[in-house]
Amino acid sequence: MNHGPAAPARASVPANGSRVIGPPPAVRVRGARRSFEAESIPVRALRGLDLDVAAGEFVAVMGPSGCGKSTLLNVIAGLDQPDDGSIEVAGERIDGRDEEWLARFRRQHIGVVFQFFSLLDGVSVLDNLVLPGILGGLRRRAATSRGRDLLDLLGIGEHGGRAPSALSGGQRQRLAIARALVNDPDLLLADEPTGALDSDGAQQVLALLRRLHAGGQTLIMVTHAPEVAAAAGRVVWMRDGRMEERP
Amino acid sequence: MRIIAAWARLDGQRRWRSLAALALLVALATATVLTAAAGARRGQTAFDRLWARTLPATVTALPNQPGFNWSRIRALPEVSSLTTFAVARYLLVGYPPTDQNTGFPPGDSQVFRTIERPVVLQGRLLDPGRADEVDVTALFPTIYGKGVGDTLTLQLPSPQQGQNYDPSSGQPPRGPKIRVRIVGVVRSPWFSDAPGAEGAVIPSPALLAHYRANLMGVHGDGYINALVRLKGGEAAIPRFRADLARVTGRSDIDVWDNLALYGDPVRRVTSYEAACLLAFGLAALAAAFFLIGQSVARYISATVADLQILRAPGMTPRQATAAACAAPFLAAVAGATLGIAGAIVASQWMPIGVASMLEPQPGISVDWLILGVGWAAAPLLVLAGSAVAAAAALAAGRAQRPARRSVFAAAAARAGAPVPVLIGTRFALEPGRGRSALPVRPALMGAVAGVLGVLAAFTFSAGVTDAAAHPARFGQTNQLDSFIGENGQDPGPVGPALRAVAASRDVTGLDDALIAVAQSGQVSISTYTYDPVGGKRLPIVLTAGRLPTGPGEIALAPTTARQLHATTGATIRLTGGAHPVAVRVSGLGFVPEGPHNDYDSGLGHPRGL
Repeated sequence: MNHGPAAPARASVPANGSRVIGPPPAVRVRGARRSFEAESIPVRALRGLDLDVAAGEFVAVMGPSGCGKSTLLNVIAGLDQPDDGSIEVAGERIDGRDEEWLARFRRQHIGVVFQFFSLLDGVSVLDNLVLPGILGGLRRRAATSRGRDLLDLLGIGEHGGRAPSALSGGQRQRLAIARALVNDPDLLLADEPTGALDSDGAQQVLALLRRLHAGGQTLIMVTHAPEVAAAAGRVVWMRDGRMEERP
Repeated sequence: MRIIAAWARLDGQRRWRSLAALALLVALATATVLTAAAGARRGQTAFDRLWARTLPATVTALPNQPGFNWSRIRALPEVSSLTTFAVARYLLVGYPPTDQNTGFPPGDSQVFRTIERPVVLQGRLLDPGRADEVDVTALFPTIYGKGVGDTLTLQLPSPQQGQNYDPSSGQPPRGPKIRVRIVGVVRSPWFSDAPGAEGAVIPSPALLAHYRANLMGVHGDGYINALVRLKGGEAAIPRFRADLARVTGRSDIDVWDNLALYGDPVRRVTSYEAACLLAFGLAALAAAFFLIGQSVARYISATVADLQILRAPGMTPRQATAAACAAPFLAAVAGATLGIAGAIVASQWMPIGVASMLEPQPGISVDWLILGVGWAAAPLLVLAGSAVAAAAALAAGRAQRPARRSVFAAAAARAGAPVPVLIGTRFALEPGRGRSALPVRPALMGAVAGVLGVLAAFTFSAGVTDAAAHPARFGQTNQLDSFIGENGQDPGPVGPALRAVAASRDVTGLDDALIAVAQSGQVSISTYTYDPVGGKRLPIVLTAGRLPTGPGEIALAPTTARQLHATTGATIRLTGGAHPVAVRVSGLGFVPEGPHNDYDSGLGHPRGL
């Protein structure tokens, strides 16, 4: 199993995923609860979940479909709000904040990668990076330069003028990762980043994530595939909205 | 701000067709609504603007008396200016004599100078010293195909025919033919066209001066009447009436209050036309709300679906709303600007109807107040609609609510309806979600409102057409009128002729109407006798009360009743005859139309008043 290069040393981690000692975590989740209705059926996605992730750590969250993995990621990203509990990212409590604040916080501190890329298909590959760059406060020229650098870094520099739909799945996910990195976030969240890719594409993306982790990037990746989770430095398990102890 | 500009630029590049379509819709709507609104304002003020700038005659004095001495009237202190005209006819050669409006020849050169100084729409005013120059009213070139620079041939009656010549008699005029040139197209309250008119020729005062015998008869016993401009305007009319009666010794001279006689009906009609135009504009605005609203809602729905992607990289709801609205707003600004240009171009076809016959400045007109308000309002409305749609779409996106399901579609499914019916019902009634989401309720409301609007328009149109085709519906119950004798003199025994006419199978009603003019206060009233011949009574239409039955009763036409503030049962005092009489109003109803009245002005009475 490859745990990735240069995984930082970490304190002891209980099986439920919460860390109890060591430096201030990049992410601290305490007692998170989240319920919603799907097709008129109540779903309790998070049921008092705790999680600590240290700065520079690469954590894979595993669990069966419907166990609340994506909800957890959305709550950490501020894309969803917990009904109860606290969420702390980069030292800031983000639960209970309004949408405006969360969006501004996200653009400075959090990058998010989705399973199905979530790219703007109507604009070019480069503009998919320029727009988040401008959102992050860069001028257009600087955002363009940053976008080109990232595309080159991720090996898709020659596709800058094309539409995302013209790229392969792996290339599109690399583009999505590049977009998440445009504003140099403290935390990168990846929701099933290889779920829509063939094995080659998945390997490319995992290699990229490992490279980022090696560079000190804090990563939380949701996956249900053990071979993907193996890329992470630590794996935590979820079941029925809670962390699950695993031997 | 940078992100909004960047997004607007990208959005404009990739969806320029949608934005162009939106801009065109806004342009069409803006042009239509503003053309109607500006046209309504222009039409409603047309008569007043014409009145204000043409030194119009305050009254028309109609003594209809040979040899009437106008110099004494001209010298009255309240008279500002006065111009005379001969009650005389002639023919335009080469055109059917019926419906020709050859205009009464002016009797002096005051006309066009100190009174009824018309606006010149084309060409110039005629030279009052040249009998071979005429002006025409605006309809004339359209009806006759002759305009400025073209020539016409006038044929005058012979001196023997003189002022008694009537083109509708079928007899040709036997006087000289005069070739004249049209030098101008003019308009003033007196020299203007009326609905159904054919356009008028306005001869020079020199025509009457050079051909007086042909127009006034061998003995010069034709009528010369006058237009009079009073120094005090309408307020001076009572004094003028009193002085006229004092100077002439006659109290039965018909004096028309021109503003009341022409202006009030015209204002009513132009106000109605303006209201119709405004209603049309409002209907267009309502249609535009649905049409453009749909377009904007679809655009915003798709845009917000894209912008939701930028939520993860940190786009705030305010930024998303502003970014979604930017391109539609800019398209609306472009569309409104184009619409303003369209409204300016379309202003040349405004005002419409009667107002178009009284507009002192036809052609392109720029009403900056209305156009300015419209130019600002259209993009702001689009912006407001976009913002509401974007906020709703963003809220729906955040809530991640399932798409609303139609209860009708569900009921159809439960009832086992065929698949095509189910699919069609769901397409029609369910909004869907994401980029393809559509606001179906406004679409349905728009469709219903549109169908109702079209039905209402056709119903209204059919009603107007029906009323116009059946004058009896509004009180005109006779098809023909014929004038036999004047000034109390019959040319021969009339009774046998009337009985012969009444005996015709085709005649269902015949009235032996004695026509006169009475005064009640300051109101001149044309009076008609209700006197059926051969038992064939004209079906008089009453709006209140009953027909008069005795010498002390009359029926008032509606407009005259309004002028006199009289209702059924009231008693009014009439002067103009040998001595004043008091009569009771037994009902309100319509009278035959005549040279001095419309069908809704005047009074009817039994023989013996």
